[in-house]
Amino acid sequence: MSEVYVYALLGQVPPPGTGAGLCEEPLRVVRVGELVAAVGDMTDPPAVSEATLRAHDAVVRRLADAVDAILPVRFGSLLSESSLADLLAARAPELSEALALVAGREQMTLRVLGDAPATVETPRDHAGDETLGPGARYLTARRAEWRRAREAPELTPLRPALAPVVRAERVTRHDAPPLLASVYHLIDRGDAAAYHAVVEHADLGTVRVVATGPWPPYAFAPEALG
Amino acid sequence: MTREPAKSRPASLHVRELESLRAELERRVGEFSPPRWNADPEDVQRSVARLVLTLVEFLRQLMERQAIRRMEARTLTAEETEDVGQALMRLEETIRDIGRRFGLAPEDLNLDLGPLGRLI
Amino acid sequence: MSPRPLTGDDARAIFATTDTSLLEVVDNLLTKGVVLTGDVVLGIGGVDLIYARLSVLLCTVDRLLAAQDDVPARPRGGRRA
Repeated sequence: MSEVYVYALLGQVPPPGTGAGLCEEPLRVVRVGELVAAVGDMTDPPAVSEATLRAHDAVVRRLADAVDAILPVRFGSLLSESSLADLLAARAPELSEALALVAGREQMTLRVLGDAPATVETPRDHAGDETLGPGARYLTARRAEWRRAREAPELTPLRPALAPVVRAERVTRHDAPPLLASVYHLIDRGDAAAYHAVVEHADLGTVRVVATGPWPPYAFAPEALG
Repeated sequence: MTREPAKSRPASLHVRELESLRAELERRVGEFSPPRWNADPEDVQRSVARLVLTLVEFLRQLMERQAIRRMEARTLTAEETEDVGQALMRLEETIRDIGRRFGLAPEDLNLDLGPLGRLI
Repeated sequence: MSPRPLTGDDARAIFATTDTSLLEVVDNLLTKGVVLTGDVVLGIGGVDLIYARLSVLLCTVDRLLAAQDDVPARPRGGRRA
């Protein structure tokens, strides 16, 4: 039973000339409303190998070069065309929002390296604590944990220099020295050199940062489960 | 416009850092084949408990995430915040207690769903 | 329809790389990007029995979350049972 392998979601039908898929299959589109999925017909999922990973990335790059807004799809996404259409219809609002964010933009990946994660002194609102019941205090503490997992306080000294070029940020904390966090920055296409310049001149004390990119905006897909 | 990855700049990963990144990615990506839940015939009860508690913990986290969202959007009253907070707190304790009875630590309540990532 | 499981050797080969660009590709393609599918195999007695495609779950969860966000913020009169 033939299914479709999805490479990316786009805001427009790509022009011809973007080449073939990772199995040399022709690329075509599945459209649901404003959303366009770039797909290839396949019966079996590709094995994971350096060759297939790089080939998939190459397809995404060619598509990214041909359109303004692209949401890369995770490797290995093989499903029936009808399931794809259902998913796109159900998730249209958040996918459209994500496409609007990445339009005309690309991703820089920043690895934050050091021997110990920055400890952020969270100002404790003791006055507030006393008036809250145990349930509210629990939820407040949980919220603080959620936030901490998505923050990179190590970059604080760099914020002023980054602000002009960074349009959005996603953080994955590792807290596994020397790898403290991975920070993904969305920049306008063409700003990569300016971004590298900021990072090269960064002085973050005991913390080091290493930037790679630009990449298609893989890290700016909406979160899988909300 | 060609967009190739920028050539290596003065700063690139040291060997130790590369090792760290590799280990982290290996941990996150997990097995490439579809994950399996296969009830251990020697201890079916524990396997069932693990699956059930994993799913309940997943739902608890989903609800917690939504509760935090609504707390931030200020669409929860003070009373609702307190009630939801207490309920989630008790649910977390319950999951932990039942898990303990089957010899399951919080880290055991995780089902790797491949592309979905670890369920929790 | 069941996918070819990757052997441990293939996985090790990818993760044994010293090529930083491959690790970046792995990060982008295998831990990021829009998630459209998720699979799990359920079995018992060492026998795989159910191959479940979880794209349906993704769809359902999103509907639930979207519905919640639309609930108007009005304090309830009484406690629901």
